[in-house]
Amino acid sequence: MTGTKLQELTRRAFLRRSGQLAASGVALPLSLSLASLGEAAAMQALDFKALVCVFMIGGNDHDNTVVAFDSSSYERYRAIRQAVALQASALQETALSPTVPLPGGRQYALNPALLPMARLFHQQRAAVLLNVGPLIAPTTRRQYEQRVALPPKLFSHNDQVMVWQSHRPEGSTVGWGGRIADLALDSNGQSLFSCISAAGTSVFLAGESALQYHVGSHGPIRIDAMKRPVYGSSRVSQALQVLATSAQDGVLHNEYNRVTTRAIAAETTLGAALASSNVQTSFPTTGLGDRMRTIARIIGAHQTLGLKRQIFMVQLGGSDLHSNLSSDHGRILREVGDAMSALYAATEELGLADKVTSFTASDFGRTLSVNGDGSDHGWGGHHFVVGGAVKGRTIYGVPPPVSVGDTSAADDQWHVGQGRLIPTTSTDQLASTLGRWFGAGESELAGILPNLHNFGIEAAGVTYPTNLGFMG
Amino acid sequence: MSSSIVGVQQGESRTAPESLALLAAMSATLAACGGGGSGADAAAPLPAAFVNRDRAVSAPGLMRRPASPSAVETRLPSATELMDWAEQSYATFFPDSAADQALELYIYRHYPASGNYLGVAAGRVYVLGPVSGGQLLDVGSLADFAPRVFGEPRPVSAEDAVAARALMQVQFTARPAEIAAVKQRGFASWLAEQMEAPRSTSAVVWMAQNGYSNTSTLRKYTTLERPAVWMIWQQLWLVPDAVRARAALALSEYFVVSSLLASGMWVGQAMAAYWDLLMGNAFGSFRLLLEQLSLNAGMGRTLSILDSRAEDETGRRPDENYARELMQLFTIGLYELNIDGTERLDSQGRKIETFDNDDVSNLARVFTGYTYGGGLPKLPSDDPTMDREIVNPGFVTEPMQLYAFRHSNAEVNFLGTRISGKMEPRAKMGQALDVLFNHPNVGPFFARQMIQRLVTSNPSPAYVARIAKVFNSNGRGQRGDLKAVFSAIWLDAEARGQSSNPAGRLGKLSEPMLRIVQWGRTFARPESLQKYVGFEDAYGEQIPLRSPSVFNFYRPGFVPPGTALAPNGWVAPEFQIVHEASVSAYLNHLEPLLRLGFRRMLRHETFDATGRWVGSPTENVLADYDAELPLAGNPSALVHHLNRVMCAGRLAVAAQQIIIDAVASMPWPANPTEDQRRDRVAAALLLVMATPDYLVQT
Repeated sequence: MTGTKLQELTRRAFLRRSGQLAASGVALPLSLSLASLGEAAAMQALDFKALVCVFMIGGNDHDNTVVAFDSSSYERYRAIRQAVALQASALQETALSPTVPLPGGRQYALNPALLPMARLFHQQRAAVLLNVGPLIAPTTRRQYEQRVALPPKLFSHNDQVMVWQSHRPEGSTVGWGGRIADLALDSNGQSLFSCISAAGTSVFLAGESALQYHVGSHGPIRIDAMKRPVYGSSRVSQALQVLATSAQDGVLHNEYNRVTTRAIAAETTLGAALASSNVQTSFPTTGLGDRMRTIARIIGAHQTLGLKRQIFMVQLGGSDLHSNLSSDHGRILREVGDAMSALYAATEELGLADKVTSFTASDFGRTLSVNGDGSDHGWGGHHFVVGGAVKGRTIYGVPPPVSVGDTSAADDQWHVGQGRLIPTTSTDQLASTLGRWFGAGESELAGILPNLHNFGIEAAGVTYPTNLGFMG
Repeated sequence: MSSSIVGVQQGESRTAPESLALLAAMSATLAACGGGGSGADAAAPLPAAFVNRDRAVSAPGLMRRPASPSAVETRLPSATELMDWAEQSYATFFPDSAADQALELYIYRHYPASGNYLGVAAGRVYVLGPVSGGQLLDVGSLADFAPRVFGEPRPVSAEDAVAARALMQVQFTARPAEIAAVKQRGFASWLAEQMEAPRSTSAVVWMAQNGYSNTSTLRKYTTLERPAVWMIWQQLWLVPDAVRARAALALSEYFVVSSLLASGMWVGQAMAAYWDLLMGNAFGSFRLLLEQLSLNAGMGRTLSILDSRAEDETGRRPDENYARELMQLFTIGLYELNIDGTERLDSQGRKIETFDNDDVSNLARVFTGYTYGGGLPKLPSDDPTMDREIVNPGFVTEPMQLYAFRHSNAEVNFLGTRISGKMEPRAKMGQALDVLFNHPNVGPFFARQMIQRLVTSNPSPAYVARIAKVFNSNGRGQRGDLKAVFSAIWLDAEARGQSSNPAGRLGKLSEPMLRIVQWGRTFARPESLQKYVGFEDAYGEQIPLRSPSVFNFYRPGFVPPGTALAPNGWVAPEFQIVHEASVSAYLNHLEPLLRLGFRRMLRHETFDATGRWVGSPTENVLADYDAELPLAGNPSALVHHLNRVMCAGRLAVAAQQIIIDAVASMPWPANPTEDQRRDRVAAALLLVMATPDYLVQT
């Protein structure tokens, strides 16, 4: 079987599973060229789905995000965290009461800044994922110390960002969001808008075929000089367009002009589509709030744009709090929680609440021990998943013991020193759960997630399901 | 547009005369006949043959070719314009720029190197010399030449292109006087002299001189980040020691301290002190720079050395931030390297990690106990609303100082070295830095990234190895001599374009901030270069010394996804900030800047629907365009000039023609206004700066 044929079959299988192929059997072009930008939607958007990744650049301090709150765990937390420990009294309002209590009486509360997230949790619209991070295979502390197969360049920011998004360190060119989007390109009339970044270039959205489109925080950016005369001259405007978009012999030259070419065409198409897509839901007036609002408007325009599947990425810096954790962490979490909460409200307004799933990610978790007023680079960390299709009010994963000791005690086998958690849920498991909901099949997920075959087992008393169950 | 504007037409050599080969042959044959002597001075008298114009032989083919139909000109070129054009288009005949002379009806020029004369009289153009076989030739009328003089691309001479290319690697500009200096002195000796230039005004001093260190009515500056941004643009635009500044800027993208990350009291002074460190050590010692940076308050804030304290019984641990990045980013990197920068492999073909987390935790102990320096008295505020004294700016400009009681006395074991916990703390730091500095990775790790910043994104391993060896020893046994390293990077055959490394020949995308610096230094009025903020509110913005993280604006290993680079494994770091939003924001930023200067404004306030500016001129960052405004009436000459000083002659002929035609179409009445001149210059410059031949430095 040729590669092309295989691809074609997997695409068809993808569409069938996600209820998309419909009776029409219309062969949609896979083209990523701009030719596809202007074409009319070829299929009614009967079943739209979108994923929104909120990436907290810098390594979020998970221990002060999802706080151990049963009294014995909290006391240990407070003893270890000292000055940066959150006060129990401040956590009452955001204490989580999951539908099914955690084993061993374990309880958690959210950082007080995440009150909207706690509300979504109790409305069954949000779930907590404990101790997620990159793994090659289920790993114990002993195995870590023996240097079994481990993700490359642990604890290094830039590399762990890449590993989270692509399973490879710096230099990687393809991420799992983009790979999942590859499968869906056929179902999208305008494939350029399959993967949209609302801040920064990330490998997460880069597929084998899928490109990432960058939208400004308030929408696509118009190049003024190409939309009207320049210094009174339309000839200059035309010349600018030719120079900045024509094909080039030089590789770098050509890639630069390709980006500009896409920018012009996409701004025209997306700008027009957004003109009629207004969302009434109010968003916080923060950088992330602006970007989330733009994402919501693009989602609202999906029918105009002929899109069935979209993956969004938005990034937020500032999480690398080696110091000033107490003063700065709440602000960042508030920005995240408020924006994700507003996005959820907007999807309800659009009647797409169960079609849009957002989730948090970060370079890594951090140490449980503190260096004064901050924490250092870690590995696994806690995260959120939000949406109408999420089986919410549930805490997924295994609550890690609250301990920083370097002893042979059972409680110290969960971390690799200073409370750096060994993930008990791998990013592959997270990706496969989201990807399956999105419409990807088992074999496709196995191709996209190179270590997935190492999971789906039980190891050292922990189960590692390839479907975490939070998407039903 | 599907076909290449470069590829299709580049081979046409539209600027070469059809008769060039013939004339070259004639010239060689007839050289013996004399007609112009070598060593003749520029003011040589007009030969007698010129006098008898009525005996001139008509030779319309000599310098004529069908005019470009798009370049219709009604104006006649002046004799000067014609002869300038002839020199640039027929440099073989009319080598080197000659001065206008006048005799009788003639305005003429003499070219001693070729022995030829070129003259204009009564609207006709004459040539005499070896090129004409010693016979006076009438090569046509000024009207015949007008379309070519005004509308035809002219080549930048190879010597100028080579000099300009070198200049743009070692500094920010290739202004005409700089090109001339490099040609005259030779690049190597010119460079050596520039690297000896003394350090110009300290940034800390500049801050004080401009009142940004005041504690009184300007107390807002105490925490405002903007002075840090004004400071660095001012430095990059105006310091005379541009080669040093170019190296320092490259260092700032390696030893990253950012005004975003170092915010707090006197952030502007902290950034100024950091920049002074880079400038002061750019051609000094890597080891000394490492030590000074480790004690710099801006670094202390960026990587939280400040207030990192000893471990204690409560479980508190030293902050690991600086220890990790000092190894990962500033010295040895993550994997063991060969001298050529490629990764070493163990016997099983695996990469070898340079350090693990225990090394980080141990090294972190060395950097505990440091806090703000200065020790200077607090300053009273004369602001009546201030009810307390203000800390002296010296607390961020002086090196950090040690509070010994906060310093960890635990033994340090890292990278196989044991440092006693009892050792004096500063000596401990010195030993730790020595261990890192002497690690064999530092040379190739540092060399490759500096080459990427200054020359090409994909240097050959051999190039990296040559520079790494210079890092390891400057030839006099000294390690880490930055002057030797930078000099070797710039003088290397691969930098000078004599490499067969195909990936290296792709060049690099110019950094957006460098384009703005180049524009400012080349065209702007120096006294207006203040309070520039840059791509504020833009996407993928690049403000110098303001990286979003310690990982710089882009990573050295970045491969742009979904491009022709990816399958080849070619990196293009600068493409990490190239995307739909940033390329659009760049053009939106240039359009008003080039025409009106900069002020913090909404661009829609200054351009109406036809793209005509309607606002008042700005006060900041005004362009003089002294050398360009006189060329506004001659698009061919204007584009030739911009190609020379902005692009080192890289603009493809087809792109030049597009720009010339667009500029030529703009209004040009008999008495053009200042605005009409500026419209033309700004348009030509905008088009040049939007063209990939400008953006990519090969």
